[in-house]
Amino acid sequence: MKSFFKIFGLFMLILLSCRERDNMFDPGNSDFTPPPAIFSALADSAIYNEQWILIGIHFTINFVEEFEKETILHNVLYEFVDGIKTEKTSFDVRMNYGDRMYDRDVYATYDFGLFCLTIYFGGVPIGAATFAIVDDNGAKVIELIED
Amino acid sequence: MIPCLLMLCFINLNNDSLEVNQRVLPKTHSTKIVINGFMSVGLGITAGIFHVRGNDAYTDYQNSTTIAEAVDNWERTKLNDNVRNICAAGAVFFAARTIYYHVKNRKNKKPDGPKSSTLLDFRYIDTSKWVLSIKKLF
Repeated sequence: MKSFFKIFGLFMLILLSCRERDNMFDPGNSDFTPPPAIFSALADSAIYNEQWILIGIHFTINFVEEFEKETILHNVLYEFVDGIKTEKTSFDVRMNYGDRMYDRDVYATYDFGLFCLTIYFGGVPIGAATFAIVDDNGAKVIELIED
Repeated sequence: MIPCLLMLCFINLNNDSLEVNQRVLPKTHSTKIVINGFMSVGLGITAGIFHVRGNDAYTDYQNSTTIAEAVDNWERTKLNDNVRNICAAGAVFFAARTIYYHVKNRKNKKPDGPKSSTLLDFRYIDTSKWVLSIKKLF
């Protein structure tokens, strides 16, 4: 009987490992909420300076539903050079409860070629906006790539 | 007369050597106290180390930005917390044993026997004589 109480006490102490799961990217978290599906992700328009040089691109991402919880989405802009994907720039977007879209101006040096803005949630890609920079009478313009 | 009295005193002083039941020396638990004490302190220090490691792992978990990273850091946190709890339980267990043997040791050091004792024992024996002897104090 004495041994039982000793072992029982030990088990009670072992069970007391209390830490709350508190990370939005943890599927085991009781409050885990994935982001809604992406309706459209487009490179809308090009941004030029006074010398008519392409300096940035405006992106607009629309979702099917509103966000149920504050979520952080990681965006990475890739450039394809000779078939090799290289990361050009990245940024995080904080989506609040009720948001249904976001847009961002991404400033960088854009050469002729293929580009892709990939949206990640917790390291998992959930959408992408693919486009190309082509020459149009000496000016760099955006050409959307459709599937 | 006086030599007889002295003889009787001598016999009473040596009374303990005539006892059939010799007094047994009390058992000490000093070794157990030391061993259990070391175990308790060692396990307590180990529990503290794993508590700090668990806190670091939990901080990494809260700052994770990917699903895989969050799951790995959570598993690491749980492992450190479980080891901490086992070591802490062991430390408490051995600390309780240390105290138990320490109390037992203290009890064994107290002698058995009557609590009060007389310095002089004056008796009347059956041969119409009085005997004065000195009793051993406890």
